[in-house]
Amino acid sequence: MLARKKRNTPVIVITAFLILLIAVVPQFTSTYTVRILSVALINYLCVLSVYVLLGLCGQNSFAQAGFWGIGAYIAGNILTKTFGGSLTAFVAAVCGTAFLAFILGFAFFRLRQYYFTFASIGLMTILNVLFINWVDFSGGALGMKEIPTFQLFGFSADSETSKLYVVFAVCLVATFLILLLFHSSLGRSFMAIRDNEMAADSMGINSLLTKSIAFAISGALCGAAGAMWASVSGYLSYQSFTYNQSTIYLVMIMIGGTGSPIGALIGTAAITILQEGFRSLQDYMQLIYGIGVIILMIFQPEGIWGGGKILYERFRKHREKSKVSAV
Amino acid sequence: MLRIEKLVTRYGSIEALHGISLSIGANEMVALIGANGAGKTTLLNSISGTLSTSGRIEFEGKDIQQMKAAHIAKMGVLQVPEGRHVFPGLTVEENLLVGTVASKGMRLKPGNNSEDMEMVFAIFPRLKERRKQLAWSMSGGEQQMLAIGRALMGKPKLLMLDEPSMGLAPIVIEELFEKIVEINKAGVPILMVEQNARLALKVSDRAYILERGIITAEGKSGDLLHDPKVHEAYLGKTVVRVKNKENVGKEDE
Repeated sequence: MLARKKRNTPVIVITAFLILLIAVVPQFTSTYTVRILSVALINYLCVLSVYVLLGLCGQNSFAQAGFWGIGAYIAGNILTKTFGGSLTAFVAAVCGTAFLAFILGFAFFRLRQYYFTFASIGLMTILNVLFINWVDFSGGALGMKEIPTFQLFGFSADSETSKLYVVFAVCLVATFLILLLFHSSLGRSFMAIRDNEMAADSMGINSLLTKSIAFAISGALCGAAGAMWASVSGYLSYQSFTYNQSTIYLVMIMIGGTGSPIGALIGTAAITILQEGFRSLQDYMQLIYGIGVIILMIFQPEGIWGGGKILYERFRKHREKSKVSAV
Repeated sequence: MLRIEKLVTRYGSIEALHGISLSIGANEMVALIGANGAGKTTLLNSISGTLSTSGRIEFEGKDIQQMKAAHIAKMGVLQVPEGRHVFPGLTVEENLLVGTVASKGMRLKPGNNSEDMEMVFAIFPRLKERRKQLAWSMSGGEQQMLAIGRALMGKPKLLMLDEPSMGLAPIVIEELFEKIVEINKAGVPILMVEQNARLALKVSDRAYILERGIITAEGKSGDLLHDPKVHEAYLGKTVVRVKNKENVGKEDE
């Protein structure tokens, strides 16, 4: 019990810091900065989905932006065609995307390792073509306009700041659920498959079903992010949900570290700051990502968070040693 | 306990097992001996359901030949794969907890597993010392102990060990086999595949000898140990002499 508390300390500290940040920043900055924060948090949800699939279960997917798009279009359709309110749209986006991922998982995970990755690239391409051409569902090339914002029990998130609070709340709940998953036997089964699929099979873990569940959970996270995006931006374009966006999620988690949701958060923050801070270098962004990832993989394959943890351990050991020698 | 009749396993068009019949009684330790490529591991994989087979495999009176691997594991037939397949990124404790999936299924709540874990620690005290350590950082012998301990967490009704001695130092093998006998005496039937024929015949009750996909001999291990044919083929009576360098040329002349 004590050990678990200790492990969660950084999570609590970071959460507290973020709550403070989210509470203070909108008071002093422009609505533009607030919007950037909302978008970053939505990206974080998608990167969290990559964490579940890649960090926990060891499966690399390039289709996450596609699932993000499906979630967004489901929510957008429900909201603009007034089938239901924000809550219905949110639940439908999450469940619909998760269900689709689960079914596709059963087909795709008959392929192992990088063959699954290839299949996910194919899926991403198909989804993108679908978003352009299925006009009734996505609005086609013109996109989907005038999607109403969140409305729940008389509360309406009209300002950028209130939208940010809604997105932040969803992120908190999602992160908490993923941490629960990490400590559950389902989460351990994911990690068992990641480490050694054959041994996991012989321990009675149905790897096809378990991987499909992991895909469904990551789909649900993307669906939630999509529903958030539909309401925050109010306009959906097929150009957001591309293969490039999927690779950015992967870059984010690689930079942050695949070992923990904190890695997902740090990666998202790092890339967002890069994008916003160096707008003038926009043309060179892909080059910077590429070189950055290569350098990081050579010198710090565990990402920023993993590297930080190793440094902290070293520092702690060094301090203990100097304490002993002082006595 | 386990009865196999006329089991045939194919890899594509190549037949690897040509009609194997074999049985394991309650509390028995059965050894399976054979050269490389004889089909020992294929037989274990056929029983645990990771290969498709034809024939009959009966476990506790139920036909399990068509069942899925995960289902067979849940019935209590647990295989410890060849070459110490532990989960390197998980700690010893977490590795053991994965083992409970077979007996208790997938749960969201951690639940209470301390009793099962203490049972494993009683057999392998070394694992208790290293419970927080990551599995990859342990020695080969410890990893093999962990792999067996993990299978024990699944409450096996039949434990299948694939080459438990592979790549281990003689002194470690000795310790490990003492533990395996201990586990068997506690009431777990064991089917063991082993290259080290002498050792396998010493610890087991009965043994089968597998050659190119057919069982060529079976019987009490003690009898097989003194059988001249077995002796010659598997226990190394005939010493193969390596020609020394200087003589190579001379003999040819």
